[in-house]
Order: sequence, then structure tokens, then C-alpha cells
Amino acid sequence: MGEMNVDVIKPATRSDLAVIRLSGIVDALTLPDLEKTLHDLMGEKRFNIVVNCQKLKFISSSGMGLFLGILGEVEKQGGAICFSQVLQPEVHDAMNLLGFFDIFPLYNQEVEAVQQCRQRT
Amino acid sequence: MKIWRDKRSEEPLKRMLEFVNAAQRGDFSITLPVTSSGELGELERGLNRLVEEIRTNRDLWEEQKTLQRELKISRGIQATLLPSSLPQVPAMEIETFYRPAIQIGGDYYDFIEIDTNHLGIAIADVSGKSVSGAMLMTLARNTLRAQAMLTLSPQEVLERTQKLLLPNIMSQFFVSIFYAILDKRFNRLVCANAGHPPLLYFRAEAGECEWVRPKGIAVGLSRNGLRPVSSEEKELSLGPGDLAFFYTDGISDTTDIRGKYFGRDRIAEIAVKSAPRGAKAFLADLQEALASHGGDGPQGDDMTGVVLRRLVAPS
Repeated sequence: MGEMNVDVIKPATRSDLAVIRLSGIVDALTLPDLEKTLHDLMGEKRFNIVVNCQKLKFISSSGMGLFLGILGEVEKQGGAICFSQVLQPEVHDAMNLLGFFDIFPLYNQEVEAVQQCRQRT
Repeated sequence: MKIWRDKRSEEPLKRMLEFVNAAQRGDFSITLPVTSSGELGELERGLNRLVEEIRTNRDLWEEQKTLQRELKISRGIQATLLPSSLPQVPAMEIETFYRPAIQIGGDYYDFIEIDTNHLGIAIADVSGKSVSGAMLMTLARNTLRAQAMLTLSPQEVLERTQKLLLPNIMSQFFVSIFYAILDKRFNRLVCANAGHPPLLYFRAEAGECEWVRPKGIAVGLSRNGLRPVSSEEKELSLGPGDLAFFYTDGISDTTDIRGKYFGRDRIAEIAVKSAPRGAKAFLADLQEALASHGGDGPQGDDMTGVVLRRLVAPS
């Protein structure tokens, strides 16, 4: 079992948005931490969420399910979940095969994802 | 030195002794009244804490035992959902490989005798493990089975399966399914895919492998059902010696001690080398390679595979 680190960045200029920088391994052991982070962001009404996966080494299907699980609520509130820098080939492959990027937009850069991750008007 | 007994300490000590004896008999229902002050009072409180802790641990252990029993039953139920025998198809070899991880897994495979000429082959991976995964797996399997009997279009089977399953899948769950229909008369395989790893297709004549990946997304990903799960079908014709391998990502994602993935390329390499010797030989070599790659580490995910190989006609 590996370790995971979740850095949450809350830009001062965007009270509606948060950036999550995920690193390490999201599996059964580390899942609860990520779940809590997402739950807290929902509580703070940050319904636009950018997930930076630059240092993500592995994510289990249950880990991906966390994002899917909150998507309904996020969209109901007019928000969006975007991903950036899914660099690890195996992680990208796993998400891509499932069709994850058909549902969650993927960007090359975090800054680009932040710009695009806005409430729909 | 003179040892003298304090009359006042006799009663509490007696009570403590009874308390300890009761705990030794397994009776944790009593709470020791704290009547003394000073060190004796400390002792009374300490004994209560100790017994409370033992009681909690015992309850946890009992719960654990019940859970283990239930897991064992669930595993048993799940095992009965897998086909108990392999379908007999003239001129075809069919072999399977199923190795669940320690927990209850969410993989399954299935053979569906649609009619005399058509055999449905399904392989699926449910997100989430344990009981929730097993329940969704059962639901997905039965839904797909029922739909498979109604049409010879694998794409349509997957679409209908998604439509029926969606209202019953909790939002964080999804299931990837590769479904193909074999026409036994012409050795033709029509494939559709809902977000599952591609099918390995080994062509004996060329001695090469290719990946068959019909477009589609996992069932449950598009919550409103607006996106089709399967948006195309791909057809392949199995020539003599050709092999098709359906599998779940537990195989390709097996990691070695340094975290290096087994990978799809490796599966293809083994197919090129072993497929000419038959379906059994391919699976045996694959399993051997997986075991040596994964080493003694714990198996993180279920591994499931189905091999279909057309026999080479005797010359």
C-alpha cells in the first residue's frame, strides 16, 4: 500500500473553485482522505474543482468513483470537475479506457483547467 | 517491618476480586463501583477501564468473525454465478482464467447460449469491491444475460443493459463490459465495448497481435444516460489458429516490487510466442509470467481472462 498526498489550493479570487493536487496512490487505504477533502469542498460551496494529477501514480476504480459520485451534485449547483496533467501513462490509460475523459474534461495545464472550470451561464 | 491491615480497605478489595473473577468467567456486564479514594480508588477506576477495553475488543472480534463468515458466503454465491462448465463449440478451444483478489471481487465472465448458432461472451469489471461490488456484479450479469437473448447486436445489448441498470447503480459505481457474439457457423466475432480494456486478437497467419477496441464508455459513467455506452461494433473473422483474449485490467495492472506494470504489450508478446501451441498453453504461460512479475506481493485486483481459439484444421 502506498501513500497519498492531497494539496488543496483555494484561490483568493475564486471562492467557487478549488484545485486539488493529487500525488501518490489513491487506493482503498488512502481513499477516505480524498473523500473527506471533496466533501469539505462541497460544504464550502466550491463546486468548481480542478484535479491536478501530475504526481498521481495510481488511482483505483473506487477512487475514480469518488469524482463520479459528487458529479451529480456539482452539476446541479452549476459547477464542473476538470482534470489536468494526467501524466502517468497507466493512470491515463485506465481513465481513458473507461471513458472518464468523455465525462470529465482533461487539460494539459492546471492554469488552463482553472480558466475553463467555471460555472456555466 | 510491621504490616497491618486497614479494615476500611477490606471491602473494596473483596469487590475487586469478585469483579476480576467475573471478568475471567467472561462476564463483562458488571461495573465496579468506585467507593474509595486515593490509590485504591485509582485501582477501582483502572480495573473498570481495563475490563471495558477487553469488552470492546471482544465485541470487535465477534463482529469481525461475523463479517468473515458473511464474506465467505458472498464469495460462495459469487462463485456460483460464474459458468460451471465451458461451452462446447466445434473447431474452437475455449479456456478461462479467474483469480479473485483476497476481498470479494467485482470481475465476472459469462457465456450465453443465445441460439444454436450464436454464443455470447461477456467479461466485466465492477468498480468497488466487497459486498457492494458483488451486488452490482450480480445485477449487471443478470441484466446482460436477459438482454443478450433478445438481440444479436452486442452494441444494443450493452445499450439496453445500461438503460436498465442506471436507476439501480449508486452514483459512485460503474461497470466496464466487453461483450461479443460468436457466430459459430462462420467463426465470426462481433464485439462491442462499454469502457473495458480492448480485446487481444492474435492472427496466426501473420504471427501478429492487434487490439480490438470498439468505442464506448463504462456503464454508469453517464448518469443521465445521454451518452451511449457503446457507439460502435467491430467484427473479426477467426482464421485457423487465431486467438481472441478477453481480460480484465487486474492482469495488465499487476505490478512488480518496483511498481512496474505488467502491461498490455507483455500479454501480446506471450500470445505471439504461445498461442500457436493452443489456448491452454497461452494461459499457462501468461499465468506463469504474471506470477513471476507479481512475486510474493498481495494481489491487488481480480484477474480474469477468457480465451477463444480456432483450431488449426488437421492437414
